[in-house]
Amino acid sequence: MLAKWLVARIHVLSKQHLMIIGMIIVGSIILITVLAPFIAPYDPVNYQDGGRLEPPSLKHLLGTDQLGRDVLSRIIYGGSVPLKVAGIAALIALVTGMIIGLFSGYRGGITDRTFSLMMDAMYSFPGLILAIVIVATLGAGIFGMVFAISFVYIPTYFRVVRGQALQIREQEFVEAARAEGASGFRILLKHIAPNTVNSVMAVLSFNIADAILTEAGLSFLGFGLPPPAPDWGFDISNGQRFLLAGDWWLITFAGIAIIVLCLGFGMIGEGISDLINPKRRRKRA
Amino acid sequence: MSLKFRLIGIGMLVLVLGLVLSLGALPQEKVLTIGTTDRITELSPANSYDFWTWHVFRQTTNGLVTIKPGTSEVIPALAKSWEISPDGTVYTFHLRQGVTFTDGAPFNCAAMKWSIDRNLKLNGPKGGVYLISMIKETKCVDDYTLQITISGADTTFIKRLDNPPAWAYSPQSTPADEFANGKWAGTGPYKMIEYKPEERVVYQAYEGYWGCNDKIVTAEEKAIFCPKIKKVVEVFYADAAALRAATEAGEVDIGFRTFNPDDILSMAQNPNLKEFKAASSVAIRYLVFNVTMAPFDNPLVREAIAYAVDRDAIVSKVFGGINKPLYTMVPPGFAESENVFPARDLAMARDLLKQAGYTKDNPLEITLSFTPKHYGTTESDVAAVMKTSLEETGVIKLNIESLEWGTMTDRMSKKDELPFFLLGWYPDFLDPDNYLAPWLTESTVSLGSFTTDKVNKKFQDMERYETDEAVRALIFAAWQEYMAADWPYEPFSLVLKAKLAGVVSMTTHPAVRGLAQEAINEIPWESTSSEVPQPVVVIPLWQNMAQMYAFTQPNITGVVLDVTTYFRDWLVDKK
Repeated sequence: MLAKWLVARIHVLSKQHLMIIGMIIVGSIILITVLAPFIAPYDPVNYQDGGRLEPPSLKHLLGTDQLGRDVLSRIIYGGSVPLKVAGIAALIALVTGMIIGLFSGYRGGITDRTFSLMMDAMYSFPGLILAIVIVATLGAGIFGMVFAISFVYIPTYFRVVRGQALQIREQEFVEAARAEGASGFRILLKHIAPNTVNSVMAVLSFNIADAILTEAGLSFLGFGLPPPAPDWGFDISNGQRFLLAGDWWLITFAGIAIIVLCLGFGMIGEGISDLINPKRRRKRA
Repeated sequence: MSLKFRLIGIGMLVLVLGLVLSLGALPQEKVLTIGTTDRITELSPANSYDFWTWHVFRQTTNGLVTIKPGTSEVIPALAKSWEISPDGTVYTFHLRQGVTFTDGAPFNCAAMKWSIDRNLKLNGPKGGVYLISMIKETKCVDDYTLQITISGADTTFIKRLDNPPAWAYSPQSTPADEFANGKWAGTGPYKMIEYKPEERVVYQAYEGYWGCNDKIVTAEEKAIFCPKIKKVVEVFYADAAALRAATEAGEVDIGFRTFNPDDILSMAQNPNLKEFKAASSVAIRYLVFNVTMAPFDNPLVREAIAYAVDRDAIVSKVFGGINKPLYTMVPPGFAESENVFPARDLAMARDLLKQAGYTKDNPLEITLSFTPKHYGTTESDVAAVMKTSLEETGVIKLNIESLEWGTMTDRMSKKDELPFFLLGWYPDFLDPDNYLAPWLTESTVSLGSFTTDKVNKKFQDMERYETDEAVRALIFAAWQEYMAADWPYEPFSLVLKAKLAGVVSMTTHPAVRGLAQEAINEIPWESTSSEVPQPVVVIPLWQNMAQMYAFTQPNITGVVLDVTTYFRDWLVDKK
């Protein structure tokens, strides 16, 4: 009965509602992360004299880990690195991918073919593996992760923007502008770029969700910040060995945090892509 | 389908079924499976120095002597007897006859001499050949009599021979001028038939093994040399959790090195598993300083860290109490052990750092390196605890660096690459010498300390010459004091001076007396700056019990975990 009711409700939820929920989720997590020093009940790095491996209780709402550190505090602080890394990496990838994509799509010819080939090669490589190779070469840590993740996602933006650029450059107003004598650069900036922004925004949101998972994967494998820095990916890796002994809270809450954050960005992405999709809008009207 | 085809089809089915069922009835070969989280580095007897690599050599070849399982007694192996010259420098070994290598080559004095000479010559930077570096000459008196001359009388020498650099390798199959890198043939009991790095090692018993030959060994010897199970597979697991899962699921017969402490505590309650553990622990964990690299070239800095480390936090938080704190490098199992490192004192640590010029506004910024898998998954927790406890002084900023084991052993032996790191030790032979000499005199390069304090060599020579147990104990007590001395903060301990004076008066060896007197003269008792001494080259942290546990299926017998820490695959049987 409950299930049927839920399913009926979900069908009614429009993509817009999802977007709002997504924004609330992401907004809350960002807020919590920013306010971490004020709201975390304990120090996430230095253990106190508390007991180790205590299950969730009133004193430690999400329990303590093997060194006696409060799990709730580590979760509150732990979003900082994934958000920063994923956010910065996605933005770098966006700007780089967009510039190359616009240039390549507008110029066409050999330039376009060369870049497309490069980007296709990068794109076809499994993202996490490529990121691991880059971080292993550059060294673990924030810089390595940002570089690796941004590198991996450049092709995504390149494709979207290039496609749009190819399309738009054929349109009449662009021909008109060219006839008037506007330089290629000016055309790109004033006419083509603004028209790609919508799609890029949608991609950005999904991309951040994906980047968060990649960052978690890198931290899980030990390529992130060295211990004892709080990070959800690291905490998942750390919590594994205690599962068999029945201490489930070390790994579970970090996992939930990552899922929720990803979900939030994904929902925003869905909402945006729905907004800009003319077909869908027409259907509802 | 016609009746004929159907009948043929059924007939074939019955035939196949019969074959399959009968296969099950064939006697299956007994295979022993051992799981571990350890890894092999390089299968070269002259260029390796870690547990599992040496474990592989132990399963596949022998030395002149070995240690009787379950004891610390030296017993004959390839040498059936031996004599020592009165001045203690010439050892004459009488080799067993009729022994062959697994490649068919005969074992004799020429082969044994070849093996030892080869390893001494190759002496790899990552190896443990230094253990037998006192060998001056090897000589074959005849085909089965080997004479070894060492540079000076040394009561520890015979025990040192139970290590891969001193073992027998077939000249027919082992490279003479380069590291073996997996190419060798030994005398058995097993032959390595497969090695897939990161996956597994497989051994097959050598049919011509001397230890199973009634014409060569007695019944008692056969029981401790001849393998019970003919085929052994050692599997490498990713981490302790995987090893635990595999052991509990019955995927392996034995799980050994290294379980998580929490897993040990709960697996001990599992009625479906048998627990084996060493009676006492001779494995230790400690910190090493490269005393040539700033800021660790300043003894005040090293001493301050010695006062700031929190052993209790490590033992209780990381290991749930399974391990014990250690205040000297020589573990308490030895009578010569003396607690010489200080209890935790943050005020003292801050004071020492202030003298060295470090304050809250000018903190000491250092990096501690650790290896995340080799010592078990708890190592990053140890590093985290070190960080918290050292930073509690308010004057230290500790960065943590994680290094793969191979990278760490590489950098450790280079002069300028690894200033401060966590390391472990299990004895190469059972003597306090093996807990002091490696970092202080013998192996200062390959173990990364790079100390040049010559007074340490005097202590080493004293204890190696001395044959009287009581005097030897006094020498070790003095040595432990010396290497932990709070210098130059305090004037040198009167206790240390008294101990050295005691050695001078009690010993009956003129050489020892001379050395002790020289030590008294050379140690700067009053001065405050000098090249000598270089105290606190290492800081002992805890006695490691966690690596000395094995969990097995109920039908396993013959697992012997003794003070040697060896794992002898050949003793294990499966019902």
